[in-house]
Amino acid sequence: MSDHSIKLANLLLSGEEQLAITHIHTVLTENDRLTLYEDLLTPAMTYIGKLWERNEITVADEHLATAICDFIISDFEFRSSSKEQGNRKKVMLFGVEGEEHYIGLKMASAVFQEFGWSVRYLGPNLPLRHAETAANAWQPDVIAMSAALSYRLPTLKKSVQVLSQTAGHPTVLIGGRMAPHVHFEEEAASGPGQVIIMSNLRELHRWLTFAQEGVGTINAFS
Amino acid sequence: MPFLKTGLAIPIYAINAELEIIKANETAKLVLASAQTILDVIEEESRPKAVMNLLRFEPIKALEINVLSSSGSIVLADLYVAWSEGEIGEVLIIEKDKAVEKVSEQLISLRTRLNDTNFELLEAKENAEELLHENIKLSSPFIEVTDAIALIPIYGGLDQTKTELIAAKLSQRAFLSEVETLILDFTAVGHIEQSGLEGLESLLKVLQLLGFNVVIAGLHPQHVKEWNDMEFTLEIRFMKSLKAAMEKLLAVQHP
Repeated sequence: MSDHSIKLANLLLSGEEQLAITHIHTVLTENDRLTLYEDLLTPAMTYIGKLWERNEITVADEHLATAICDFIISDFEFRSSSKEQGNRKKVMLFGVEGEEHYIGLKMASAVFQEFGWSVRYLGPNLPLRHAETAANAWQPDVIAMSAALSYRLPTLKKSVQVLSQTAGHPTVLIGGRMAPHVHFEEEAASGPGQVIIMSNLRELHRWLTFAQEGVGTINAFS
Repeated sequence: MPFLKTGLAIPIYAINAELEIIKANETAKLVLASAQTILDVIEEESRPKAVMNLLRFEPIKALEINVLSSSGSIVLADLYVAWSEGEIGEVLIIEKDKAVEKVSEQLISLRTRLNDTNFELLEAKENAEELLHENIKLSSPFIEVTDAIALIPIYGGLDQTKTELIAAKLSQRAFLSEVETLILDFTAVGHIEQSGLEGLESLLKVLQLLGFNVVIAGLHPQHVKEWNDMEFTLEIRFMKSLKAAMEKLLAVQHP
């Protein structure tokens, strides 16, 4: 945990969005999305979770910090217009039903956009039947889901089962705090390779780079 | 412990040092999840926080945690604990004021609405882009008038994107054709942007390199001014109108 992230966390908690953005500009040497998301914002939000565990802040404080974090991401994305054009691969992202954590999803959406993907970000807490309808209608190449809490696991498993069978046979990506602890070999309709666990944004970035270069064993691109 | 018998509408437990529930008042049994240990009442993600604080065996004042209701829903609450000398802990669980929850729900619904709107705008934008593309594709039809002459009437204003698309389409189409002369008719062209003129120049170069005679007809006075501002080195024939161009070209073909 760097001092920069702790300072940022405190600015988020006090609702100082402009000061937070100014602080970010002093730390970021260039417009580097991954550094901002992985090394500044994510540790800051994790630290805020720890403060709650230590009973130093309340859920209300957390909500405020999340809203400011959300604003910072939107602001950053609005200002970085370096999006590639032309890759018309499609990705649909959402948080499973009951899951209200969405900052990670939003960050992942931005990474997909950086690679020129056509992105449908459906937000957190999306009932499975809506996700299924959207997946059949739009037929994305990739469906990315996230879950932060352990008791979403059954919902997540069910979602993998249902969505891996939708019309476009999409590759399913799982992200979120739960991601490193789960396996979905059995749930994937088109075999184990259809489900990929993404522990963080750098992994996603690498995966998208490979996908772009046509390397790797990702079934949606083979 | 007489408090357990009162009808106080606050869940109260008595627990031992193993955190097992010894007694619970009626409200606790009614409102919260049935439980063997106090941790069974506490939602999974809040348990580490509760354990860390409970096992200090010190008084706890307003420890914010999520608890599980008898119906299985998650409720935000404050936990109070006091330990007696016999290592019996009295635990009070007081539900949090709903005001924060209400504001937070409103925020979520606003965020959802913003996201939906964003989505609809995105779809509208994509549709508009598709229409624009289609429009550009239709704005320079290639019409073979005789075996030797093709007419290309161009429609609408010209900017860089449009001239690039027209250039790509036209050079392909012209290459496949047997004609020798191309008449580019500007009668229906509106404003030509600087970037559009540059694109036009490269298109004309390509057409000449492919060996076509290029005739430009129907320029407006405004176009002429724009054209003159550019240092145009190509040898292009200009005709006042499409009628004039056709008459002249046909006369050459059939004297």
